[in-house]
Amino acid sequence: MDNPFVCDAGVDKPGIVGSRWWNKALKESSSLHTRRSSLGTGLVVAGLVLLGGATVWAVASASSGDDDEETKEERRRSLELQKDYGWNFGVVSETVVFDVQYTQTYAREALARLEADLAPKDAANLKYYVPTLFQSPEAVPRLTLPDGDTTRVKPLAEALRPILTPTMRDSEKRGAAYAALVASADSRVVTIIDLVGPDAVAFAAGAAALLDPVFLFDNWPHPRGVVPAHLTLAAATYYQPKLAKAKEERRAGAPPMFVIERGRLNPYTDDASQFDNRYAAKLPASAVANTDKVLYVVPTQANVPEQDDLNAQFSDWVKAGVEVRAIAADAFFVGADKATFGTTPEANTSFFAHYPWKKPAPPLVPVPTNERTAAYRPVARPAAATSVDPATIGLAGVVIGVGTGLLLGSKLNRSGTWNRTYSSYGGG
Amino acid sequence: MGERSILAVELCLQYDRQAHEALRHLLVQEKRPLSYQEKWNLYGHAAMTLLAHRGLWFRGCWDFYDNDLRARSDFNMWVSGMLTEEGARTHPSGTGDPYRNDPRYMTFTIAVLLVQGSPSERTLCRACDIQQSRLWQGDTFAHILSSMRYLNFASVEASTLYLIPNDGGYALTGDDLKHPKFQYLRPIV
Repeated sequence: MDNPFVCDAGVDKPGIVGSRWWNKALKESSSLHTRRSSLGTGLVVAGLVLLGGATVWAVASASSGDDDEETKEERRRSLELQKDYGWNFGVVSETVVFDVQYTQTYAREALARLEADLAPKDAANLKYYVPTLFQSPEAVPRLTLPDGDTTRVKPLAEALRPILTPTMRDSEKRGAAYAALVASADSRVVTIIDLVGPDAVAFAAGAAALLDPVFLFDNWPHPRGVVPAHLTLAAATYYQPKLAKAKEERRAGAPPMFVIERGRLNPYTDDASQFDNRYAAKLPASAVANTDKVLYVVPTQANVPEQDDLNAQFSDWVKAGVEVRAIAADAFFVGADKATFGTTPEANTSFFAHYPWKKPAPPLVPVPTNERTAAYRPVARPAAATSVDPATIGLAGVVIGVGTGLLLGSKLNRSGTWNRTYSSYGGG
Repeated sequence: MGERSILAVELCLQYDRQAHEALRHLLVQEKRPLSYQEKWNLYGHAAMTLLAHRGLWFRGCWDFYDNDLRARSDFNMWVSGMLTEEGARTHPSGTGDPYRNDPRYMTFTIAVLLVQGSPSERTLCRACDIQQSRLWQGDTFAHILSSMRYLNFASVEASTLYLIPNDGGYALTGDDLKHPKFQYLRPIV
């Protein structure tokens, strides 16, 4: 045998480069070969993927009946798994569903510009931008699983359709009304929009003529994701033209509005039927560097206090002298053409009586749907810090071959050959 | 089924662009099947490159076990450390400030799974019979690396080589090395 050493696995990423080699002349004598036993017999799946200069690859035996490799379970970052093995990791035959589609002309080619079109205009805000979600549509797997499952992954863009729901239409009008008021304050107000994904995007689109949107959507959609990020993405594709145009026309130095998906911390209970694509909001502490006023937009006045992942930041800002207030999106009454704060023009004019950021203060007109939010002030909740530990959310169960160290599949997928040896699954 | 032994060496060096490039060059070559001679040359070059940069050695670890279970288990562990990218950074660390005691580091790992009882394995076994008090001395690491020339790759069932980082911008920081996952790396005395 002239060249008996065969390289069968390795990694070539910025952080590490290396490889593993086997001596074929000695292979029959080792229990370590269970996944490589068919090297040279034609039953080999070789994965070699090049993406952005990074290479990760593995050669492993195709599914064989005598595969008895010992396995173990681990939990790994969901987002990294999706980037490596595909957006629908573990359930490649499943896709996402869009119940309310926008049926007019839609150019998939525009998805290539989504990340850029929805980026903040102001360079000072650009560093806060989290475009993770907008990078998902055309992404393809960087790695091949030993069973070849990932070779069947189709880009999310093939399933993606823009949506426009009735609540999105309302939210867009509310965003426009909100921005018109906040932008007229005597000094800069930083906005934090914490609405259900599609409504958050719509609200931002409505406000984008006057406020600089900074999207903080830090996950990818998944067919079984507990966060329905595909709907947020679909809303973003619908509003992409409007947001791009608003960005062009918006004046430089417009106040920022940070846009967060309200469902980012949805309940998650089951590795086998759900995919944990949750995340904690990356709200930058320095977002208030040029202001002492923050307005937190929630769906209704029942949605205060703020979510746990924001509490520490909000309370820190309060301690630093920043005035952190809240407002309910549904305090903006939606009419035929536009929305107003409260139900009357007088109530709308009284906005700065509720939020005294413009002088002279107008007469106060009560807005019952906003009383609790207007009165709310954040306080530190020690339990909040422990309830949202970034180290424990956004993780997915995977199965690892003990002998090879290779990732064999997701716990969502019970048809992998590795399940034959994992008694607790009882499948395969 | 024959029994196996393992020889593994990992060195953590202060990052040096020239040394890094020399080590990296060994790992980015074509992944075609190699002959025993080519494998010997590759490992010989790796050992010589590390020896040539002894002044950069910072921490290290080496093992030789002629216990079959331990050998197989440890080899898997070393490989797993590579495939899971356990010690690698996922984000750039920057270049550091050479004027503020903020150096960067790199690690180079060699592991071979040997046929127990083969002449090559027995020679390495004797070479690795080191007094406890000298285990972590620089001279000992140099001795182990020099002994790589006794490897006969006909008696090597499997091997791995890897370098952290691949891109110099991802070199390890001093804080990275304080992480418990790097505790196995001993200061070289």
